[in-house]
Amino acid sequence: MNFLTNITIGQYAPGSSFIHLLDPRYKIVILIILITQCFLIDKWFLLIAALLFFVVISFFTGISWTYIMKGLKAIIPFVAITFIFNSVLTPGRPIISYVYPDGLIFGFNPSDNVSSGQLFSLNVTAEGLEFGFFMSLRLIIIVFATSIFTLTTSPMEITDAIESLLQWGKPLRIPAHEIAMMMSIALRFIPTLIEHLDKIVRAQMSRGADFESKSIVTRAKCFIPVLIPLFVNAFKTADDLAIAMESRCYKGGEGRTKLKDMKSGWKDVFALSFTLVFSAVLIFLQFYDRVSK
Amino acid sequence: MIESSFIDVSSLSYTYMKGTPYETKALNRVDFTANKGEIVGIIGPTGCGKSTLIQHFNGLLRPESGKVIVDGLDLNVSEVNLRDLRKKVGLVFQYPEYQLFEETVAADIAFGPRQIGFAEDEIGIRVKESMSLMGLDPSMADRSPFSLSGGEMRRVAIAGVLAMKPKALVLDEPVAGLDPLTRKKMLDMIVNLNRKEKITVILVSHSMDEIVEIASKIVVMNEGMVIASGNAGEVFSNSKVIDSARLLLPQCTELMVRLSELGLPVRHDLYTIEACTDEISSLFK
Amino acid sequence: MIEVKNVTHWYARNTPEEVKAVSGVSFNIEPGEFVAMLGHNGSGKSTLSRMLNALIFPHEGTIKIDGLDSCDEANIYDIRSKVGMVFQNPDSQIVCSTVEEEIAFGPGNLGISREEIYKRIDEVLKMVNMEKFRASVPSKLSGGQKQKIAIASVLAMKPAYIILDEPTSMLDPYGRRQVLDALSFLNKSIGIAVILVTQHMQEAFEAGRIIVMHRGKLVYDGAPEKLFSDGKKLESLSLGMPASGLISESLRRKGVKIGGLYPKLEKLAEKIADLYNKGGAK
Repeated sequence: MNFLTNITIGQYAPGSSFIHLLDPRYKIVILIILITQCFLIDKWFLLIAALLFFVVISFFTGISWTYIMKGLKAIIPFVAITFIFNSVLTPGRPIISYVYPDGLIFGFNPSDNVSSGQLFSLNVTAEGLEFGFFMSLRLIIIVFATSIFTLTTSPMEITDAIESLLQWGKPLRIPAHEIAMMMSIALRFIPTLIEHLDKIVRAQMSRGADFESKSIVTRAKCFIPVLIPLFVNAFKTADDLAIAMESRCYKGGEGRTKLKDMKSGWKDVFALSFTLVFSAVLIFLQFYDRVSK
Repeated sequence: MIESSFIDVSSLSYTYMKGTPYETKALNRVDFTANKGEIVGIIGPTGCGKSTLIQHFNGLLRPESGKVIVDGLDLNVSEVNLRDLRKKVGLVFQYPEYQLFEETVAADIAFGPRQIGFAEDEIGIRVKESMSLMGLDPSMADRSPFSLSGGEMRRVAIAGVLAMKPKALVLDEPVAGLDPLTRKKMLDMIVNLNRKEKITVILVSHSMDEIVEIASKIVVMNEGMVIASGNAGEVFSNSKVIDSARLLLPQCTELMVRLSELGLPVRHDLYTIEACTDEISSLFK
Repeated sequence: MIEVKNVTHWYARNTPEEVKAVSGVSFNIEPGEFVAMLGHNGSGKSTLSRMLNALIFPHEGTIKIDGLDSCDEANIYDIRSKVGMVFQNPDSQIVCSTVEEEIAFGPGNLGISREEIYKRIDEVLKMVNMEKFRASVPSKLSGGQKQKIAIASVLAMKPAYIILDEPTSMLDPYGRRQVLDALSFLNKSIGIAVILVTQHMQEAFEAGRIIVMHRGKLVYDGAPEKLFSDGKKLESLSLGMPASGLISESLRRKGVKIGGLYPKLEKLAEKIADLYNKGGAK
């Protein structure tokens, strides 16, 4: 069960790199731009360029490559599922098909009736493979980008930045401070909850719960003995935390001193301009052929 | 009578996050033996490897290198039936009250025996038995475990492991956070399990005073290694080893060490208050 | 001064499950005192200690902190910054993700200026001997270190009193020592009053004064020596004798004239050596 303690999404790794020192508000805006851009482009070389962009950025964070990778490993199953679902569920030209009862067929055309008793077929389509590949790549890029962001930005900074960005929502009565505080506490408690979860799983395994069983039913039955203690624990932790915050005079965002001013400088403007240029280039290349026609 | 070993660990090593820069050696060539019917105390500071070691006893962790044999079962062999193993060794984690989940005390205690495949009528008997072993009143059976006090919840959790009828019980800090009276009752119950039910007990703690009170053999760990083992006298005669593990000697042993540092001719391998005060009073006769 | 007068508190008041957690308790705590609070699990210690910090309020009786009545809502934040509170579980009381931010949380809530907050971060980290960990992530620290950060975070609000609710019960002996040393430094060198709720008799023995709660009532308030010399009383209160007390007792019984009880082993050892060297031996 060690994989549980390997999740690095949402973890903060203190440092003083260029990326660490950027204004968190700029970082959030940059992150949003880059993620949006990933959905606008669907040429494989452009997506790979976007991925490489983050690989290069990650070297500027001063955080060890293995540490970043460790976090990414945790999403491999999700990427695999995304890929498989997309390649099977997207309609189009089948490449490999499983037709019941005939078996595997390559280059099967559904309009040919291979077997009169054909009951159902499952097609891996060319379009599906392509789309699955793009979606997986996007997923990797998004998680990668988000990890770089959370690794280099402390939850308190994220809180302050979100709060500051949400200021425009004041007339709409958006509770900026509360939303931001909630997110920051959620991030802070990920490691604590994972530790609890790990402990509960081990304890129930010692009582005979079989998480490694081949039967899905048996495994599913083990969820209750894990989830209930986990929730009980999380509520208790939340209660303790609320009391601890109150005892230190927490009374919401009004009149709170922030530890750091969010001052933006040429570095931030540079980073944002660089991002904008980079995205503009990618998007231009994406639509270039359409424009030239 | 020749003592036969129940848990036998030799040269066991274990590394967390192998192959990453965060690689940590949790166990480094550890030897450990618990004989049938013994109470063995494992003591060491936080992070010394004690919890990694005990998780090998019921197969939660598999030996990476070295040997673990539990009641004749060799855990290096991959086909070991974990169900059998968990019937042999019950593991009670620190603050076990956090593992309760059922609607009633009885249902929670029945979880373990049901999982490892006992018949329903037998489960009922086991639940009653283990409740009485842990001093829980039968009237509690239908109450919600979440309505109990912290000390009672902990006893329910231990009863839940006992109901699986293990031959050995491993307890990680079973009295942490309890008041002195509840603590004493809990330790008495553990001794009772050992004497009357003949259960081999392995008690993990960072308090020397606790371990000395009930264990017949003590194993001291630090930084993944066993740095001392033997009976209390043997372990405490070398106070430097205890110091190096940032542990505290039992208070009376500590006094004897201090006295001999002040130049008084006293033995300092004594660890019971009676023996220590006898030794001191003999100075004045 | 903390003045507690005739305080009673119920849980689930006016319901069938009503429980009287604290009942008719009165005592005072002077600035600069070191008081240990003992009592069995569920004796009302935690409820009482939370009332001193205006986290919960007396249903009957009054609590005044330096003259401020805790039932007056206008005083709540003044009281909470005067009386700091540290809890048992180091993991669930740390709000922020770096040590620096954690310490700034309290003073930040009070709206103290940023320059002053930075000054206080330096000060309090020095007080608990944790200067090196300023930029660390709390979840990566040891239990003892986490508790010291929790103490520092409370100190940053410049309290006159600190209440600690079983702060060492989840720590190993070394972590326990770290925390206790920090507390004794704060009390002796800086003059902060410490109220230590504990299950550990030896810790209590080293305090200047002990308050014992039993089933919601205050049943003892006085010197540790007097409490720990009455074995029967200890047992009736679900308390135990600390090892140093047991040793002193046993020595006296065996005719070694050591005088009173010795809370600290060093002192006891010195006394025995003294007797021995004076020729009591032979």
